[in-house]
Amino acid sequence: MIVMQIGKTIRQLPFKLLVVTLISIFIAEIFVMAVMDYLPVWPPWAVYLFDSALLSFLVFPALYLFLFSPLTRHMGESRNATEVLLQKAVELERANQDLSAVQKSLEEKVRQFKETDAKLKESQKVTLSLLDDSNEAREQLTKAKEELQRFNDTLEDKVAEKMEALKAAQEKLVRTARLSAVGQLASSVAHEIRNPLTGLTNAAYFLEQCDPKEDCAEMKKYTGLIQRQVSLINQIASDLLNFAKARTPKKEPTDISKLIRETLEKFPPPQNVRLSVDIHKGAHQLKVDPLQISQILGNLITNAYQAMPKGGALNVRTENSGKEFKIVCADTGCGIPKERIPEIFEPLVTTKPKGTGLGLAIVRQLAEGHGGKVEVESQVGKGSKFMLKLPTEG
Amino acid sequence: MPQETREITKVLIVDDDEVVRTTLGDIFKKRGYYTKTVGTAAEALEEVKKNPYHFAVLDIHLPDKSGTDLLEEIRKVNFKINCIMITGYSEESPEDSLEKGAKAHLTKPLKIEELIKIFQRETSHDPDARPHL
Ligand SMILES: Nc1ncnc2c1ncn2[C@@H]1O[C@H](COP(=O)(O)OP(=O)(O)OP(=O)(O)O)[C@@H](O)[C@H]1O
Ligand SMILES: [Mg+2]
Repeated sequence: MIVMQIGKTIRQLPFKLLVVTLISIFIAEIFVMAVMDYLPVWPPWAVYLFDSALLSFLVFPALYLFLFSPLTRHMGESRNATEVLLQKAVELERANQDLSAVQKSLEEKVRQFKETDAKLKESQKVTLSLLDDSNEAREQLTKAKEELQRFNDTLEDKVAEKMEALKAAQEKLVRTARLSAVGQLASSVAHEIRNPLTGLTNAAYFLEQCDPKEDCAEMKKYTGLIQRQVSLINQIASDLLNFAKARTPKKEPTDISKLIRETLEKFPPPQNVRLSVDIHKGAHQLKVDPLQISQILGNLITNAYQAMPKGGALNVRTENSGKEFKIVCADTGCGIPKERIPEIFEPLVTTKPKGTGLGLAIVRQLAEGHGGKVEVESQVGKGSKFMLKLPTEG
Repeated sequence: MPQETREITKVLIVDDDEVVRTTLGDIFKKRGYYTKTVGTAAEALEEVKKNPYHFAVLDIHLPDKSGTDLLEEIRKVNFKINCIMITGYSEESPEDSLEKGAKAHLTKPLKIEELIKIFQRETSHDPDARPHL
């Protein structure tokens, strides 16, 4: 770089300065030659010394004046220029940096723009698809409307169809219920009848073994036993027939107090049961079927006695609210668990080894036939209260 | 074996129906068996503990316990007792009680000959148990 600067400076030197320098050297040399010719002879070393002294005396100021001084000036300038140049380079660098930053931000902008563009395109797509969807939805709606219309058209048919199926199912249910009731009844009856039948066959076998001459007394005992077994079977048969028959009450004005007393006489309490009766004084005339009411009471009383195998108390009383006549049977027996209460009025529901479970079913049937009802309150271990409610105007 | 040492056959009859148990009792008494009749499972268990019965005729439907449960309990007290189950319900399967050790399962009304045949079959295995005639 410096070499270039020097070259440049030299090239810039004025041509006349160079000529002046050369001429001054030329004159100095001539002067020296002339002096040497006219002067006494000098030794050669003195000539060289004089010559070079003269030369340096003349040429150096010229050189300094015309060559070095502009050169150094130029060099300073060039140093300045370099500095400026460096400065410029730094600035350029900075500018370059700025530029790259600008470029970067520009790129960022471009990226953002692209992103936005993509988003825009996406949303555009969504909008388009939404439009499609709404078209589809509209189509579906019309289709659904059509279907609804069609369904509406067939609805009545369908309802009729379903109703018929339901009816059939119900009929089937009733049939199976009836069948299973028949099955239960059959098994219950079979069991009821098989015990007296066993008694009869056993008696027959026993009589066969007897010697008529020796065992007369035993044979008599056994004929009595046979008769009792036959009447037991007959009783079971008539109970069943009685239950199966739909009985319309033969109502007649009846003295209820008298009817209750007569019924209680027919069902005397076991020895360990104390019976108490609280019946209003004065005749209560009610229009009822006396036989049926007596049967209701008989069943309730029998159940009460059976619920107190270890003894207890039975209270029978009447209450009259004007509209309703109530006959209450309250025992101190085993009681009925709450969850069993709804089922005890069903036919064939029994907890007794020898029960047919018809008692309360008959009670309900007869009470309802009179326009009345039966209600129960019971506590396990404490006792039960059965209430027969009859309308006073019947 | 001398005749005198032969033990009299003991039969326990358990049925809640009074007529069924007394008629059965009379029949077996007449044939020379020692018989005892009871109406509940509790009484039956007491009897079994007191006396070494050879046979027990058990009704399946008893007021205090099922006959099959009673059968198991009796066999716990004395597994030598030959138990015969009787029932009025024909729909019951006899396998249950036979599995638990009953000798037979009969339905009411009973065929007495059948019952007696079973007695004879079982006593022929056991020379101690013979009807005392
Ligand atoms: N006073 C009572 N106390 C406790 N339980 C009762 C009473 N009355 C009825 N029950 C219960 O209700 C069931 C049904 O009674 P219901 O009179 O219908 O039949 P049953 O007495 O068992 O047999 P049936 O009357 O045919 O001989 C009984 O088995 C018993 O469990
Ligand atoms: Mg009853």
